[in-house]
Amino acid sequence: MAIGSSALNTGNFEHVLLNRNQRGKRRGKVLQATLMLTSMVDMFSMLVCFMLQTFSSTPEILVAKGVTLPDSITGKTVKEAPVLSLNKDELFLDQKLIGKTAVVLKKPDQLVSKLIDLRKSWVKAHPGEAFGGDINVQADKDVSSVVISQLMGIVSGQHYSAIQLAVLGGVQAE
Amino acid sequence: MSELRRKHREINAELNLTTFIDLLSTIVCFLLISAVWIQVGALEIKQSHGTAGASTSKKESYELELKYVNKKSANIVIKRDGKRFRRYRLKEESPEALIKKIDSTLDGWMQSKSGKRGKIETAMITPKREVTYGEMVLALDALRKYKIVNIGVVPTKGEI
Repeated sequence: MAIGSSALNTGNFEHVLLNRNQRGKRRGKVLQATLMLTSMVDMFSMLVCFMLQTFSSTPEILVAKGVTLPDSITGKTVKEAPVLSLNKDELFLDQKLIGKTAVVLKKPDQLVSKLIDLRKSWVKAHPGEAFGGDINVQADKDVSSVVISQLMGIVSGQHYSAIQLAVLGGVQAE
Repeated sequence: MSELRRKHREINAELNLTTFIDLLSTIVCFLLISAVWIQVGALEIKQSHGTAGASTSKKESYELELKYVNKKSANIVIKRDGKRFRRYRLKEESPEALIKKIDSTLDGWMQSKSGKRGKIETAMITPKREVTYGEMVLALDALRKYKIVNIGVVPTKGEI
């Protein structure tokens, strides 16, 4: 049986104190390594609560590039329907370019045929249901109101009579 | 030996938060992705004015026509049974002031005897080339504020 040096110095009070001090230092280092998760969990919980409150399941329509929507205080929730986007000089139907607005208004054949196709596919997908005629129009706020009224005329001529003008803000429950 | 036993008996009171933090981070990620940052609303326009816009209530009903003359002036015509009942000519210094004038005119009508007796069932807006879509939406807002739901826009001809 081998005798260790510590065993030989057991009677030395100085050594005992030194060893105890070193152990204490070691313990201190271990305590410093623990992570305090309380604040992080608190922050996560608050974030989750806030985001769950602001969460909405209503359909969201993508605002086309180059379109600045006008502000409104009486807007209602958006319905899911084809989107007719109009920036300063181009017209899009469901994010597909139809053409220059001035050209389309003079010769609306392409727009009309696409609207008819959309209506037919809706009727096929919803057999036995009456066509609601919903369409979302999102136009830049600086576009002339006459352009919008002419577009409305074309669209309503194809049985899309419930026109939803996309606006910013003011969403009220129906 | 007795020291070892004592060590085994020690209860670990720490909560294992790993799964809880995992769940929270997953929920935060999902909510961040599905969050709606821009609130887009919709103003409904009913273009089937002639047929579907007919009055259904027994109360006296009126029709309103808002005709833009230019950016700063407009005419409001209130009709009863298709005949002109009242006419307001509005002319202001700026488009914003015109919207305010439309609002105050409608407020005045609602407070009048005829306004209290009857209800404006339908409204039609006749736009002008120089009037922007943003300004037209403000006018629509002013009409909708007074519970006029059946609003249509007259398709006007003109150079763009």
